Amino acid sequence: MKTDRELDSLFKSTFNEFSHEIPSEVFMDDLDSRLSKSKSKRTLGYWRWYLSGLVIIISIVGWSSWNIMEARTTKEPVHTNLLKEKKEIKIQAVEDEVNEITKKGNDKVYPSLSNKKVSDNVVKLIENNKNKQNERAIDKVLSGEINLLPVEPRYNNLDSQLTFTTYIIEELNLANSDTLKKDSIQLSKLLETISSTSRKQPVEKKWKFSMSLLNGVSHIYSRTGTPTIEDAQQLAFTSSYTQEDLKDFVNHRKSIESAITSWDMSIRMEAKHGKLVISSGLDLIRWGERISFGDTLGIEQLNTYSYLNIPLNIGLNYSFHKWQLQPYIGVSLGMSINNAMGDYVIFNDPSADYMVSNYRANKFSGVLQSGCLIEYLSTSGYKVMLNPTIRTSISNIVEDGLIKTAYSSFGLQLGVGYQW
Amino acid sequence: MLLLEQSLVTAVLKEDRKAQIALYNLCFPLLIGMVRRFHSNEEDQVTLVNNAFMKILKHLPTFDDKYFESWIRKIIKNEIIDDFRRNKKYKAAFVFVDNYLVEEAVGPEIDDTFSKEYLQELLYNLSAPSRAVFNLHVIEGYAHKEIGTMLGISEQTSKWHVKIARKKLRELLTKENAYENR
Repeated sequence: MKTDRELDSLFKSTFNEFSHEIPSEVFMDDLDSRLSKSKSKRTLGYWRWYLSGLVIIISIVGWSSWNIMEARTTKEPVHTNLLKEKKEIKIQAVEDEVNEITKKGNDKVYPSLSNKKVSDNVVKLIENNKNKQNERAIDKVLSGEINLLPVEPRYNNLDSQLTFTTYIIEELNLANSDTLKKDSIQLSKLLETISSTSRKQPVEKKWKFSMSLLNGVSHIYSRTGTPTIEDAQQLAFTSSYTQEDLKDFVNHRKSIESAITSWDMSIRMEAKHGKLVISSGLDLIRWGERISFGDTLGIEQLNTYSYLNIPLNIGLNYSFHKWQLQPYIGVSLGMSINNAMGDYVIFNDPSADYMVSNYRANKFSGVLQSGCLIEYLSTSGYKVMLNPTIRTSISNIVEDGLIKTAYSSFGLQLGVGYQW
Repeated sequence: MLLLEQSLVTAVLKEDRKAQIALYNLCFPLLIGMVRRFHSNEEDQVTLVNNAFMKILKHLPTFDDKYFESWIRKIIKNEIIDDFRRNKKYKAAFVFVDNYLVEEAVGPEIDDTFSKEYLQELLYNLSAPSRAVFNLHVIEGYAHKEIGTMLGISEQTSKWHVKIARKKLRELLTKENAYENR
């Protein structure tokens, strides 16, 4: 073996063939733990998606069922419900009074009834509530056309006036006439109005709290820090690519990074005082970045970066019946909890032989955010929410010296919660 | 040549543990054979072989090439190179050369009946960078320019390391020969 060629040939011929070999216990133990780990990781991954799906389904079903229940309640004639309630609570007392009047049954009482005039306060009350729908019925009552025989309208307090109106309705219902029955419906609406004014308003609590779970996705619409040609050259670790290849690489990366999406899950705690809303909680943001440079460098990989942030938002609350709008601004700060660099595998391009995937996620995560929370709050305190958000990072997602990736994104979350 | 049966692929894709082990046993000789030439440490060998196998499992659903052996060779080679690039101590161990002229060296006649295990041991006498470059150039057949690209070194540096490796191996083989001829 004199020459280099002969020496090379000795090593090449010896090592080119692989003899059959059984892996030792050390290899098998390590493999076993890796396979188990990867399976449990995948199972956890599936659960995460099942859970997300479940929250969305519960949100939709919950929201729909509240609406259906609401619709059913409003379909029932209001006056029937009110009459039942009034009958149970008030009728007995009034009947007693009427009975008393009837017992007396003397001419002193009857003329006043036959006079069919109501007290001035009641007239005022009824007239104040007069509108196009009920004016006909009210005119009939006030003109005495409707028989108010059993009622002595001398009660000036509101409860008595309600009772009076209830009796009017009953009278109208008892009358065997379609027109009068229509009048009765109009009057029942009047009763509802009066009834609502008579309810004691609950004392407004100074602070209201709520807790909710939100789940959604966001999408990058702008970013900074796309690598320069020089960065790309270092990134590709090669001097053999042409400038054109590297330009392609940069352009691909620009277009691919604009397609980054994230999965966002938030636990949100909220405190309201008047119009002021302060909220905080826990945000789990998981970015997924699919890299595919099959045409130029022959690379395909998926990088993921997960962050756990604590947000602090300040907003204002505007109520519209059961709907609430909450525009807010805030900041969300946290730490990287996991970053998984994708594996590269080069299939087809023999010239693109090697690529290192050494991006490093930044440990610190800071985000400025604003949005407008839209809530539907049921009377029982449960709520469904839609949360469109805009975020701008104040730190880079990736920071490894070559690639610095900051972003602005638009996201949408759906959630359920409870307010007390 | 390694042949991959479709039934085995199907079972592996269904995450059948027995099939995964069968595939591991099939790939193992090639994977360990390559890794062993670069690393003497068993811990490194386990990490690299099993890293590569996990990548094989991960990308098997998208593998549509007929040449399974060349595919897994490429994966394990990339894994080894990646390890080199990640590990600063290897990079620091490289001797960087700007201008180097390759000269064909001629040594004394040496008997060439050596066992694989013995030659393997000889490779471990080389420094890690020289061993890597020698492996890639002489055994894997990569050009110096390609090696430079892979390891982030110049073509001249790659040539220099091959020369140093040859010189050292020749010395060791000559010593062994002289010992046997006594």
